[in-house]
Amino acid sequence: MTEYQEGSGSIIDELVSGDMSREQFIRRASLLGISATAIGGMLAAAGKATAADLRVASALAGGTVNLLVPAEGAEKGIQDKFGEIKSRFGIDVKMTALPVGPLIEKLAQSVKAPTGTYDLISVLGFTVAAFVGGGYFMPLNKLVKTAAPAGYNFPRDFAAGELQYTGYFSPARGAFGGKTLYLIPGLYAGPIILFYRKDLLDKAGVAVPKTWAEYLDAAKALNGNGIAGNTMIAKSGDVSMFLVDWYTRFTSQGGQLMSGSPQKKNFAPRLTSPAAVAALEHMVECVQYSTKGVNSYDFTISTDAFSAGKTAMMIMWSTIAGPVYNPKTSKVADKVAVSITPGVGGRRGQIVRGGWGMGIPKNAKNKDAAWTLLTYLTSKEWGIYEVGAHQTDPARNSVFFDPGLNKKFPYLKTAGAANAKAHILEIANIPETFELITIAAQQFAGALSGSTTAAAACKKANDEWVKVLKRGGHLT
Amino acid sequence: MTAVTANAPRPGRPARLAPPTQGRGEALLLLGPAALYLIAFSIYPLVTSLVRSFQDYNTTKNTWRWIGFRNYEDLFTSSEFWTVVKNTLILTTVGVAIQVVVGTALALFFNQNLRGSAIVRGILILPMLLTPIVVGLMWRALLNPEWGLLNWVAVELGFGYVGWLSDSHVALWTLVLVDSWQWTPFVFVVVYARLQALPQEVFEAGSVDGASWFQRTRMLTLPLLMPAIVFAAIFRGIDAFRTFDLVFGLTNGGPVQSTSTLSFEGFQNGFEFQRYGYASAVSYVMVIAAAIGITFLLRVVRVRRVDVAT
Repeated sequence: MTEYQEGSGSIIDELVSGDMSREQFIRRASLLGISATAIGGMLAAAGKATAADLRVASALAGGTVNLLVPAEGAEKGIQDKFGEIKSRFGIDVKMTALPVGPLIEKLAQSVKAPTGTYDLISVLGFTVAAFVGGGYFMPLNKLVKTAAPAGYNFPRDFAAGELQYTGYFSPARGAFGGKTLYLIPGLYAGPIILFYRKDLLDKAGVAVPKTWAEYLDAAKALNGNGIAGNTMIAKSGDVSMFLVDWYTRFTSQGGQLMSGSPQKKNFAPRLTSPAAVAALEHMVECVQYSTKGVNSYDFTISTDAFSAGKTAMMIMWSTIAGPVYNPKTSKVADKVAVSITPGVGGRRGQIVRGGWGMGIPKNAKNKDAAWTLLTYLTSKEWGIYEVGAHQTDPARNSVFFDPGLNKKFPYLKTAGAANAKAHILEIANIPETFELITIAAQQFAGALSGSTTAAAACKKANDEWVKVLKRGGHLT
Repeated sequence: MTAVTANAPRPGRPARLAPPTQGRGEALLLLGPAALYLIAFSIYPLVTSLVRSFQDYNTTKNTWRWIGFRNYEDLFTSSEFWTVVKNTLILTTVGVAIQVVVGTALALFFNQNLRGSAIVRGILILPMLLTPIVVGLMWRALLNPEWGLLNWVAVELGFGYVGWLSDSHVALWTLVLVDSWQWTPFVFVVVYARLQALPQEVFEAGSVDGASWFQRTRMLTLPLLMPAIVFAAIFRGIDAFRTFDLVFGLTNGGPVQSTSTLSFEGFQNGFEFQRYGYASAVSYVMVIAAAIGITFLLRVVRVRRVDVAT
């Protein structure tokens, strides 16, 4: 509560001096999360309260916020805090938590309707160009300047790359960055790191792999006795297969996904490049040392298999795999360790930037309360609670590197370092991103299941990408 | 009374359903709600999606652009589309054929009124009562590559590990299996109900004439059951043709596109890729194909009315 008290001092002064009207005061105080009772007390003390003011304050200070978030773990923390959010801010949270695909569908329907279903929405980085670029979200620059709670520490506490990706956007240029803030990074960032079984590597005398060749050798050496050498996301059409397993191998070996630019209409894919084919071939080789059913593994099943002690290594979103460190959810909590992902030379640890931003749609019904909730769900206070309780990744540096959390969850520091090094996917600035990734993940699955070769799958994916890019006007 | 006398039907002429005094307002009042419902929930969406199928949606600008037949051209020239058509046809024809044969056989079997058959009949129809998403989750567990029951059985029987959902040559047949498991009971219920209503005298006459059980089944039972079988087949055919939930719940259309159906293709393009125009074109192809298919089926099968003297 103290976090929100400091900001109220100046507005009381303005009210008393007459620089601010009663209505302005009520609105501003409500945005700061001050309860209706407190607003009434302040107005009464300033000799300006009426019965109507209390009713207005009550309506503005709270109400219902319809929230749309991904069902990837962080929703548990929000649910834990429903009562506290109600008592502190007077806000009833109605949360809808969905997997990525259905979430995008609901988001699209809601933001395009005259009045939105949702007041506050989590936007996946890869869909920022489509939805923020479409002009469906309200700018937050003024709010973050005038109505952020004290100690919010924006933008200093967020990784610069994350702010550029799930924060600022320029709809006019169709590019990330710029000066207009539409989203606040959160509920979590999305770094990718290597999780491995320390005990198994030690027993086999295998060093932590620093290159992809070493990774394959380690997978081979660790495979056996009922434990698979490694696991991966290999389910057909799964976007995380492309981003986590393929793209990490690709980019960390010097791969360049695209040539040209959408603006110049010469934006062409390089999925048939040697680095692209080599990355997929490496995955195909790793399948030999994976569990038998790896071709139907998504990130949840992969993480569950690792937690159950069935696999020795995996490359994974740390926000998904954090619970492998939790003894309540993992059999290997005391045997796991992490490292940045393998790669060539300085490219070791090079990963794609993931993560989400939270924003208020222009057609939201309850923008004031949505802002209050947004600042709470992106605060350091909430981040520390969420990581501690459910091990999803934070979006703030101060939480990634919090000494208390680092002691309890040693992976967090590595995840924070990886987050700082992540770069934006080359195709993330066009609205067809999700479609392109899905197509590639469908075709790559053919190679992973052995029904085609890596080179043929890459060629097929490349051809499909060309069609989509031409249709979107990014390639002529 | 005079009016009634004047309007009384003359001998040899059919009676009129409504007297001429019935006003237009009254007719509108009676038909209006149904007409409004049809316009709002059938005609308007159908016309709108038809128009959309000739347009392209720009996600960023939130605008629609007329592109003529481009969506249809993209559709028919895409090899993926024909793969999806093939999958849908296999799922529909093979799945429904299995369901009709097994469902009818089960109905004939349970018609013997064996001991305890009432309990087994009750259990048999349970899968039909489950929602497809629950069926998907349940079968996901049964087909789980690590600890699923089916792979355990396959390995124990010496067949080795089977990639039920991950092998592109097997996954579609797994969907046929699951769909048949869920919907064979529907065919069973329809055919069994008809069986119960058949007049016993016909079969008694057959027996008196010396017909064996096989002859009675082939010459009497099956022809008499044909209307029910055709009804069940058409109903299931339409349902299987638009299969979505099972694909969504079990395979997400993969591996590669080996289990993607027309409905799933429409859903993915419309709701995940925001290609509403293309998705509308897919839907219209489905509507036209379904209409042609049903008309063809009804003509080929030529269900005859069987009049049975009782």
